[in-house]
Amino acid sequence: MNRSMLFREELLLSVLRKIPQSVVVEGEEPVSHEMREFASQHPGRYISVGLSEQSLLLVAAGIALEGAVVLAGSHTPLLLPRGYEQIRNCIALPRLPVLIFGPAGGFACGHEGAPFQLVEDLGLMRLMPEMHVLVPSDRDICEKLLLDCALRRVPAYIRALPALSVESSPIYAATEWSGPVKIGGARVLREGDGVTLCSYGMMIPQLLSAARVLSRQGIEAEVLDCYCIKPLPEELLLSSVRRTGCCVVVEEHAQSGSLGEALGALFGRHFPVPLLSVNIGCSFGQSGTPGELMSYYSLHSQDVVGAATRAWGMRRRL
Amino acid sequence: MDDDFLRTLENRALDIRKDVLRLLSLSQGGGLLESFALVEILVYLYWNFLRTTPASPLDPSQDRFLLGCVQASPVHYAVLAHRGFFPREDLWSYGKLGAMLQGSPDIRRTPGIRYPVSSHGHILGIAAGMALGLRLFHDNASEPPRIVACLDIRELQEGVAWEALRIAREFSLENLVVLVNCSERGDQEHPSIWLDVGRIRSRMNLLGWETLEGDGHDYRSICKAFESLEAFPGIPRAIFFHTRIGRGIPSLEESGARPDFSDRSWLAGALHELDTFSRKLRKGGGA
Repeated sequence: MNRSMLFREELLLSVLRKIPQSVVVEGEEPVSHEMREFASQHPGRYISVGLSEQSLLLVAAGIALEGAVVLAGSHTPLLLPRGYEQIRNCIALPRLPVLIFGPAGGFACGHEGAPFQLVEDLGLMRLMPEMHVLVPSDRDICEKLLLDCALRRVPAYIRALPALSVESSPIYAATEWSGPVKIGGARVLREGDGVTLCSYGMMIPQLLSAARVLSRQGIEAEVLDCYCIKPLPEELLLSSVRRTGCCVVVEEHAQSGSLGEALGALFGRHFPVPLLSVNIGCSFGQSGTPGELMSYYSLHSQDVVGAATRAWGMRRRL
Repeated sequence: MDDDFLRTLENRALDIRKDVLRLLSLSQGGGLLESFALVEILVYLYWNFLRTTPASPLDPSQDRFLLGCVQASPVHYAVLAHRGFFPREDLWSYGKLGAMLQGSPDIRRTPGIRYPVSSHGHILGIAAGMALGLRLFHDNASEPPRIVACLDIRELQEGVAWEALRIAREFSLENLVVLVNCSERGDQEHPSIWLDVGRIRSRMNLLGWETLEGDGHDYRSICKAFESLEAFPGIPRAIFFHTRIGRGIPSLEESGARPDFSDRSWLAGALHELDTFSRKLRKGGGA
């Protein structure tokens, strides 16, 4: 049984229990014993429509029209491109509380190869008016974001976290975050005035280790977990680059539609600073473990260090 | 259905056809032919079938009506205005910048529109979702609202429509009624197999739906079809209504041609043709 599926289901179950008017619409039957139990005790709150991604989204919209907050998802990362029209016209346009939760974009489905590695998921959803785009980097943040979206009743895409990064992620123990987690927010994981390092999701551990290396070289990096891609936490981002004078954005995402592009536009409007992007560029992925792919596409901490020193050299002097 | 009530519905339909003509001649475009095919079905629904309260259009106890065929939205607007959902004056700004009545119905602007609009066949998936949502949220004290989704038979060429038909049957959505508008074009000599109602009905029957057939311009036939629904409880049901595009204006009905709205004398001619046709119908005692 797939650990990511279990992990995702555990989160869904937690939201179902906390929000009485929430419904899960899935493409498949529940995998965990707990979810099967919940589904049988609460008829109508876990709905499996079968392998029909477009209809899954339409049914989710219909249920939301009747007052529910709907957590919609399926096990294919291709839900977004396949259901783009349904998301656009039937969820975002009428502003319905449908939370499209996972499966993980980026390299989470590494072994399945390029067709199933959606490296443009955030761009697709960022383009769409009314859509909220979030990438949590650990379980608790993920749950808090799902609850915040549910309470505010907004359409949202939440890139699910693959189980792998939760287990292997040093951030899970390294950051005990007690601050608020909400739409339009971000976390300052490390303060510094040399360079702003900005990312989300699976890449956060790479940023933290890059910051340790940079510190030994005399550059104190400020590390931001920009888990809310849209709307951007503009004030927090601007206040960081006003102190550091430069920024590096690291992303498990294609260049087009990336957070880097959004930051470029933001800084350009308010406070232009050198901005370097470390991302997958303009290519599709290929088979490999998520770790191998991160090395191949130069997304490791050493790549972040390289980009950070270059950005620091070009920084806007204050 | 007694003769007096029938006469009321006929007068209503004539008024609505005239208003559709007026609003389309003002907007200089829109689906006149598709609108006229649906007048009798919509008049029947809004004056004799659906439980609606125009003063509180979002009341959860009301029946829901979803119209898939976007081209026919002018007739839906005219029906909603005549039923009291909004003032009739709003019809005259249809499709204009800032108008409440957008070219495609907008759930966030128009009272009485409770569904988002997308491309062909999508309305069935949304209707199925609404039926599932109602199951969850409707209190058992009152009779559950019904969901009526109307779409064009050509929309059943879309795969997504058949996904929804399967889902509706799997969940036995007994509150869902689908109306399939089988409109014939006057100029069409060889209808495609997708207009073969018998073939499509048998496909739906194989999926487990109950299907009926009726004449979409004859109130007695429409009434009979809706009354026959009661005989098939517990499953989703569909009625295939035979209609004619441009119905009411014989010249359009015959040719199937799009009218030239920029011709100023056209409106007067069309209104006159409508009156003559409806007088003839009454004398003849039916279509």
